[in-house]
Amino acid sequence: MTMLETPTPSRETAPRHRPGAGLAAGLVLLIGVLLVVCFFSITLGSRGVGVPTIWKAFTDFNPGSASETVIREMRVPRTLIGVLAGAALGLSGTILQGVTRNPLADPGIMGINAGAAAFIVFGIMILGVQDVIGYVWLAFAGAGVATVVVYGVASFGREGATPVKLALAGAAVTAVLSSLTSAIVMTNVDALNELRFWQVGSLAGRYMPVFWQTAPFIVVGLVVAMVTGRALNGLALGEDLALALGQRLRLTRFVMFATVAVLCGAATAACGPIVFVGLVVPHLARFICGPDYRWILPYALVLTPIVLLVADIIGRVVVSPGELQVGVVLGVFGAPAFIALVRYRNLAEL
Amino acid sequence: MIHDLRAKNLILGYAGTDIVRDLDVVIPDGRITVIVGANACGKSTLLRGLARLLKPRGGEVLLDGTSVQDLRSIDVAKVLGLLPQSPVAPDGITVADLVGRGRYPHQGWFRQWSTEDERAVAEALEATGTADLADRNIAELSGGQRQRVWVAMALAQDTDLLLLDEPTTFLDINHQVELLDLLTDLNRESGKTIVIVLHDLNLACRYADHIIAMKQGAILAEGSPIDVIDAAVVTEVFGLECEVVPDPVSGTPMIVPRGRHHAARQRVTAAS
Repeated sequence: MTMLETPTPSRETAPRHRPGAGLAAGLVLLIGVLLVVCFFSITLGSRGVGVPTIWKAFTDFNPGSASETVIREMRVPRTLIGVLAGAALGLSGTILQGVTRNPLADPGIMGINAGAAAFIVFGIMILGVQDVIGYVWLAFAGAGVATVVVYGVASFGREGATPVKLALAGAAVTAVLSSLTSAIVMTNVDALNELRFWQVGSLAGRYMPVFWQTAPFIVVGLVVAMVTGRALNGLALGEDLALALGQRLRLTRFVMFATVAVLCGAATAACGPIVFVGLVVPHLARFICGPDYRWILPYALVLTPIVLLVADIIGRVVVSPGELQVGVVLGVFGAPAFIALVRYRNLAEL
Repeated sequence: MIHDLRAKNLILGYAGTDIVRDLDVVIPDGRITVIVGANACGKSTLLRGLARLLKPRGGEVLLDGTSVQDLRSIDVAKVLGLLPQSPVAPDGITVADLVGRGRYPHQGWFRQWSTEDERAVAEALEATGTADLADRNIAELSGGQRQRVWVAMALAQDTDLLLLDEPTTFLDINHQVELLDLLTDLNRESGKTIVIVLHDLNLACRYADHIIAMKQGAILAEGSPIDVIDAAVVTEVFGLECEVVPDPVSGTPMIVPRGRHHAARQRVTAAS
């Protein structure tokens, strides 16, 4: 190494090679793919419909037409919820993995799924709730309560809510809630039956009201999530450097966890605990974009709905006229894909 | 730029244990200060406290007269940078991107990457001799190169005060000297105030304008190495029997440990 006598002022102020343009083009391409997938999500299924029918369903709706009713009442809400829930799960997985620097972090780590499930069975048993909207709010409340408890427990002590304490608190709260849930469903058949279906995770049977109830939370969550890229880039250097670079660690963490809770809570409320996409797609995005979260976030935002809707379409097509829930499809196809990704590239360091 | 970094009655610690106890220190502006001491004497803790990574349990750290706890993090980060002991690089990041992350405090919601950032990164790469590594992946680099890249990141932050926690750990003797030479260049050329925690007492004595010897969370001695470091102080600080002779290159104190097995009194006497 030769040490320079004087640091020559900016020999190269010309812009260095930056991958921005290629990534931006890729993102535009992916948005196109998402639109195509949305189109297929509306047209494909046990009852295939063409473009003219879709057009007619919205411009000149005939309540007597079964196809048009299917589009308006089922396919469109299902697709919209798939897009929003997918985006929510993808971004919350990305943020959770970034803020905890744990490559295996997913919404389960914060007790969100356990909280939502526990509240649903409580609701069925104690309040006699029986409709989908009721489950949405129960799931949302459960996810919220679980997150607050986990965050509160983890915040004890001087360091605040560190990733390790959060993981431990999340595991503890999940264990408590799961055993309570089990205790109830052992004695209550109705609750068991409802929980069985809810717990798989599905986009089917989610009508427009479910979309309207959860969309505002998800949209706000997505907006906040999209601007966390810079902070996640700082956190990726470790806590000491993040602090040395002027980040307010407690505030950043709080905002991020709150965002994740809102996003996951709403997505879980809308579709049940859909596992795997929130875990896998961020890795896929990272694989494409490299370590810059300002790119990983938009990629996860677009990629996750694509994956979720494709899985949902596969579930509708493979056992037509019946259906496989999206949660099942994701498990069956997602696990080998994840293993392939892990083997192809080491995911260990975050 | 003149800055004043000092601690008053500073108490620092973790989980119920005080590690730095009621410590007063003034960091000389525009000089290289080296903090030495035995393992667990609190030198890294003091550095973390000065860089406001650790909230004081008592007393305060003052930057230009204001407690760092009362200043906005981002404002402190524009004046004072810290390179932690073992920083982690995100998987797959390139040298240029890592160095660019040092620009964080100078960016904002509406002020993203600017020509000023571009210039600071280019200068940091240039000053640390890492410009030709710019597009390489961090993981491909040797330990010495990687450490220079981290210093480049701290330089890109463009602070007048730079604190480094054992930056020479894991480096061989050649790279240790290169790194300390580099830090000296930075100090002499741009007037940066530099504070380094170092293990190697001989290098500490050679490179320090001001040396701080710590023991059990307190400062035992401080000042110019020539004035401060003698056999008695080393014995007191490290519990090591030794002789202190002038460094044949720099004339600064050089510590020769006595140990129990290798005394060659006769030969030395015969030679003199």
